Amino acid sequence: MNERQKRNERLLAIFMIGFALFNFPLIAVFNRPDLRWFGIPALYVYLFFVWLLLIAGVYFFVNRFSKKG
Amino acid sequence: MGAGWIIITVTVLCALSLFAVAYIGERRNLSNNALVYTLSLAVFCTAWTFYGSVGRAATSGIGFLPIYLGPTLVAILFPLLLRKMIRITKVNRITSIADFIASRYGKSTLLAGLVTIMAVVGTVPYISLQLKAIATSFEVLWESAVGPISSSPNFLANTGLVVALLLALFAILFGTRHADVTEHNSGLVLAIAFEAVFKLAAFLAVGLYVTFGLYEGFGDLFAPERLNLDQQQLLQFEAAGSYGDWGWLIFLSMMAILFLPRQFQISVLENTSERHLFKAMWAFPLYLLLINLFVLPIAFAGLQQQPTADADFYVLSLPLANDQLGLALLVYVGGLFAATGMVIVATVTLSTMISNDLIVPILLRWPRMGLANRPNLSPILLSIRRLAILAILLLAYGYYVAAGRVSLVSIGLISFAAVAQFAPALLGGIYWKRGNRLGAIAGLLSGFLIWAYTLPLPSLEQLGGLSLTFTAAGPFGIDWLRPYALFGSTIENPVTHSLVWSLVTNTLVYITLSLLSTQTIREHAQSSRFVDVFERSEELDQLMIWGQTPTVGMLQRLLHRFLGERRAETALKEWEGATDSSLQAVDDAPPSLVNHVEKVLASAIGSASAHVVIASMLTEASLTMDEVINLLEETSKVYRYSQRLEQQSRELEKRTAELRVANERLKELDQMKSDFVSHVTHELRTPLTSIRAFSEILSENGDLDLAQRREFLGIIRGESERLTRLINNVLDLSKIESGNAEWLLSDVDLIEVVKESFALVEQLFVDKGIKTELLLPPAVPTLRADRDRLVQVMLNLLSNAIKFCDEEKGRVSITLTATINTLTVSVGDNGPGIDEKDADLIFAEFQQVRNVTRGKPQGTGLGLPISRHIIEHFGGRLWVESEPGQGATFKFELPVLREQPPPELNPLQAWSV
Amino acid sequence: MKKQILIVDDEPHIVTSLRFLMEKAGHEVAAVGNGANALELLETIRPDLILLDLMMPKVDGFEVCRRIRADGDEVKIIMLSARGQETEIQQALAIGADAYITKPFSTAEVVAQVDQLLTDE
Repeated sequence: MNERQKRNERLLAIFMIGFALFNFPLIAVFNRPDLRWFGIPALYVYLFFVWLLLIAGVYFFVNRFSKKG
Repeated sequence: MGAGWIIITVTVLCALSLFAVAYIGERRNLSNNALVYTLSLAVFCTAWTFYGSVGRAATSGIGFLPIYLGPTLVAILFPLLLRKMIRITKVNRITSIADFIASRYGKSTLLAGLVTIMAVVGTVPYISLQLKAIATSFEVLWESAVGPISSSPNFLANTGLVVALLLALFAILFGTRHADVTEHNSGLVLAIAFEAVFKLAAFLAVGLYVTFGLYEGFGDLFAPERLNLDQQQLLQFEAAGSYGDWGWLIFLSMMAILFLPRQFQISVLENTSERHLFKAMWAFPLYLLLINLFVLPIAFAGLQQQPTADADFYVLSLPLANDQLGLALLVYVGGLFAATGMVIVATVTLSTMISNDLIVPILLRWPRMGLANRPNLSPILLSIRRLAILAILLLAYGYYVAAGRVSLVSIGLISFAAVAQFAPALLGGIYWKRGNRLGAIAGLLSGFLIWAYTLPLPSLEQLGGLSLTFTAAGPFGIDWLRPYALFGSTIENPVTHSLVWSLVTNTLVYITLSLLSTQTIREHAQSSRFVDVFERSEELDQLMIWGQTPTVGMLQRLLHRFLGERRAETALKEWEGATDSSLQAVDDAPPSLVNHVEKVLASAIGSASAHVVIASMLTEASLTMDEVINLLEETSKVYRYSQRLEQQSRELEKRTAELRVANERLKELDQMKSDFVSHVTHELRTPLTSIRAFSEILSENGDLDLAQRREFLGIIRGESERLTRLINNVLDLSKIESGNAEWLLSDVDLIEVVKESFALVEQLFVDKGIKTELLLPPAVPTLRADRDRLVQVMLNLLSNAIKFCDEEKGRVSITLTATINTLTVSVGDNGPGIDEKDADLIFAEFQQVRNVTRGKPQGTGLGLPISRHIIEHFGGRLWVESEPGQGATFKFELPVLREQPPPELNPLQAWSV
Repeated sequence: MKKQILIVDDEPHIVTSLRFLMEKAGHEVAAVGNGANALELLETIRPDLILLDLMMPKVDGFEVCRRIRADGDEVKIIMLSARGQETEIQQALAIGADAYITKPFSTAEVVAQVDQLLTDE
């Protein structure tokens, strides 16, 4: 398996993790209007936090790979 | 009126600034930059995002988010999906998404037209959304700052139409200056990127103002004591609908970011380097995150402060209500940019599709137009495009009038669901080779019809004042045809309902028909061109994208593919030999090598094709569809031709080999002939010498005594006879060899032949004191042969035996044996015998002379060759068995002449005869 | 002036004719039927001239001539051949034959050639 295939497989894995994190049932865990973090409803925090995490994950992945390449 | 003029001036300045940025972009080519590329992708964020998200959030909480989560997820897959689409586009010089799909399925005009129509129909609601946003934002701003719009000058009264016409003018001025659409619109891209920066800045500004100006941060804004019951509902997921709808919306937006015509234009067609994707992968989602960060705060602030205002325009009305006219103007401009960016790219893209993929193909087929013969089509193309832009905007205005009261987001989702129909044909097209034209057309059509029936149609009915029973009860009261509940399905969300039905049908039809029908050759070629784009452009990979000179390795692989490994290596060695250099020493291919490779390729695929292949490697100019087809056709033609040629050359080779053998044989024969002539000359001169010498002696010596005179005369006579015999033998041999000999066939009893021959030479045996034994059976089957010739053979063998048998105790035995099929005669002597290696030689002309020990024997040296020819003529064989010192036995064998047994005769009986 | 002549030829009739001519010219004649016998005989006798046939079985005229010259023998040698090709003549002269006569020969030519060589010395 070459470097590109390896990269693509990992990206697919990140994609699937992201898809799972954004969807039922994980999202339902944080569907609690009573729960707040930093005064903000938990559902909002969760979604934006996962979003940011995903962006950071891709950022580091891309930079690691481009250094390798 | 001052504020009104400010608004108008700012609007005009915005338009002018876009032209300025575009101008700079075209001059400086700033669009070849990963950041600009990423920002230009934000054309995804339109007025829907800028105004509509807040409206959506105000009614469904986080319901606005899936539209941005989908693109975020797809961005992770950019290196897989988008990169492949970009590569295919570049390799095939694709000009639009319609061209892309049509090219994949054999450059189908029908498909191109269908996709164009779908794209136009799907996009019109979306454009009307922008019209509505611009018009409404203008009205909101105007009424807040100036006064009721109805009391304003006439031209502003119908804001929507004015906006539509202005946008059309703007798009025409902006997007239809060149006829050539394959070039990158670097000006447009930079303008879009500029707008992206501005709209993000404006939205962040209003977000920060609301969150930290009107409130004391997020905690304050979402404080439970501030929220009424409705707002508390928004904190729950359920406000956004079901989890299923949520998932489908994410999926829908994933399709949209890939297949919206304007998105395809920017992310695929305007991409200048695949490398930019690696920045866009994270930077574009980050942009989306930032522009959505304050959606919920603004929505909640709006709900809390302006419960009666239109939630879609909280972004504008909140600053206005708090007398922040500057901020409101900034927001207005941001919204203006968000909307115009979308409209410009969408109309330019759609107008290109309409002219290239819909109108022109039709016009070209209409001979009376003479379009095909016009030397310069660009004025026509530009006119078509300008009219198309105007038509699209008027259509959008019409939709705006008909469905004007639908929320921004709902309109946008209708468009999303339309372009999602491209997914099966396009994704299948780049990953599944079997996918074919029929499947694509049928799939697209079925998906499109279901979409039209289940989304835009009822939305028009709902709001256009048509019969309400249509949606509620189904057409003609047919229950299972209700647009929001097809076949009685109970999906509550109309978008999800439509998407599920249309996309599932689309996909199933596409796959099923593709599997059930076959592809044309052109389609097949295209399918592998698309699916295997990386494998196929592997050699060109780095070159095309990064613009490097070809390496030796690339040329090597190219040769391998076209010529096979062996011939490729040979060709490269040739170059090494010719230039006295080593391939190991160089990385980048020197021009001489490139030329050499081109020449070698030309020999395999024709010079035109070779040139195209090499040129595409060198200049980054990839192959167009037609070039590819031509290349393929030429290649297959050349291949067929070369196959024929190969076959011919194989035959030629065979002929050459045969000729070579024949030539060798001829040379041999020639040599034999000259040897033969030389031998004959020698053999003729020898008796002649004696004859002449003794004649001269006799004539010059009259005093010779009688005995001597007789002796000499005897020699002359004997030598004369020898000469005659020799000449006869030579003639005889040449006659037999040339097939001109006469054969007198009769029934021959071989016993008699042997007896008669023996009788003829018996006296010689007696004279030489040679003992003889004759072993003959009482009777043998008769032969069909020339009796005299057989006697000739026998005499030759007998005289040889006399010549070669032991001088003191000579003994010769002659036997005749019969088997069921053959008669064999053998003549054995007890002479010196013959070496095995000479056993064949003695049958060659004159050869016996060289291989005897006791001086020159009598004879012509032609007896055995002639005998062998005679025996072989009658289907037998003549050979010698001997061991040196043990004598030699010459044998010949002749097949017995057998009558064909009569049909009724039992084979066994026949055998026993 | 009686000289010793050796005749080497595998054709008995030709030997007979040459013997007759040489004896008539007053020479002493020895004759052998092949090259091997000739070389053998040359161990014991020392002729003045050799009439040497070229085409003989086993040891041919060329070989006999070469051996004689290899021993440093200056004996006169006349080659006789029924082939008479130019190359053969050249070759014969090159390996040390003094003259070459093509068969069938004129008896007068043979006698004259022999006389000339024998009186040369």
